[in-house]
Amino acid sequence: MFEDELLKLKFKAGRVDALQRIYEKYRDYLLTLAMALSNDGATAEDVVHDVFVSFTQSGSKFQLHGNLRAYLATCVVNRVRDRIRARKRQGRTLDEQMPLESDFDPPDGRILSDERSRLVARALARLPDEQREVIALHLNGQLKLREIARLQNVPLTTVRGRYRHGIDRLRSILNGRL
Amino acid sequence: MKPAEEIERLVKQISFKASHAMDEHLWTNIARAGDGRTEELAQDHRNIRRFIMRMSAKRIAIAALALIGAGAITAVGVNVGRIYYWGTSADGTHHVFYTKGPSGDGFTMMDANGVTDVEQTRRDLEEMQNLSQQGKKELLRVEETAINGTVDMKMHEYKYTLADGRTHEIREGAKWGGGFDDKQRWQEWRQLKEAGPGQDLGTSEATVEGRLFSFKRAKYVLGDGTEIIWSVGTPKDGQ
Repeated sequence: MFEDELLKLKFKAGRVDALQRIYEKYRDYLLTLAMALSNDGATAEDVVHDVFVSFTQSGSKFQLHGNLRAYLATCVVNRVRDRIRARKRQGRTLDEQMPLESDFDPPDGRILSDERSRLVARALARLPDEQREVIALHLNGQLKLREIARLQNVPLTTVRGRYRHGIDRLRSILNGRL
Repeated sequence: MKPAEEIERLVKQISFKASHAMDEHLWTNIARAGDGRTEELAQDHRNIRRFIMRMSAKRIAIAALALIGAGAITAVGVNVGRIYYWGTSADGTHHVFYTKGPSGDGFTMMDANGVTDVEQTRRDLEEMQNLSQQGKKELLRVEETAINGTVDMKMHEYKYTLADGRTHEIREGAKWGGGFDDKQRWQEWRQLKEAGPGQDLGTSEATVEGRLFSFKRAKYVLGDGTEIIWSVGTPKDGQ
């Protein structure tokens, strides 16, 4: 937290070392979050790329009084939402991309830790968007449910419900497969 | 069926890391988006800086009136950086001054109650920066915090004597490793410190900036097993 405040000030002052540190610090965190939200390595990479490029270009106009990590996570969520909407317009959904159990290995450059994680990521993709978002933001993005409620612009009770139903559904999808 | 906790654990384990190639690709594009500002990186890397940040009261507890920086203020040069008044901290308890100069950019935070005249304080800070560049300051105290055996945070407290005879004691950060970026970790350690002195590890001696210091060391263990060793050094000749 202390370091982030300093990084924000340095970044605003145009310091590239601050940008590089922010990138190194949050790259994998954001990639993981984007992957959990999109279940697609290429999308995750593109989203993180776009978030950082846009962040970089904000330069001296950058204004943030809150938490840097939560801010970047929100940027990722918004961009993933845009991509999911675009996919839906094309008639594709996340879970249609890949069967739950598959020999598919992500191409070089995208390393998802193990087969178990891939299975769980695919199961996540089968959840309704709102449930997946709450679970990914809470468990992978380490955001509090209250923060997620603000981000989704819904009451906290709704977020709690989405989380609980999402976890129940994951249990059901993964039953006997792990 | 797996219990919910097991599912939560599995989701948390999803980890997506950038490979070297992806990392290179991403960073190249990001740096390009910065309009060539990467050139500053090499130039800035060795700059000497003093930093203190605008932060909430809780965060101020971390560094008190410290100046956080990547190195001691040892730059030699005739050009002293200009110090500007930035304003008050978010919670109004501190005044923030901004340094811009050849020895780097930085922030200095002063206790709002101790600043009766902002312009005078600004001039004092400039004078102290000048004195610092000339090495005219007295090291009074050194604090080191090691997390699991690695020194993570280092603070030096200096005394400056201004031309008119007034003295200022100010803490300057020599290192901030980021080990206390985790708010919970920081709060837990603070609570432990407030609760008692910690396990006494005895004293040791070390030379800091050419002066022999006696360090008193204490150990604290956090709930997750993190071992923190807090050392406070005072000059041996001053005891």
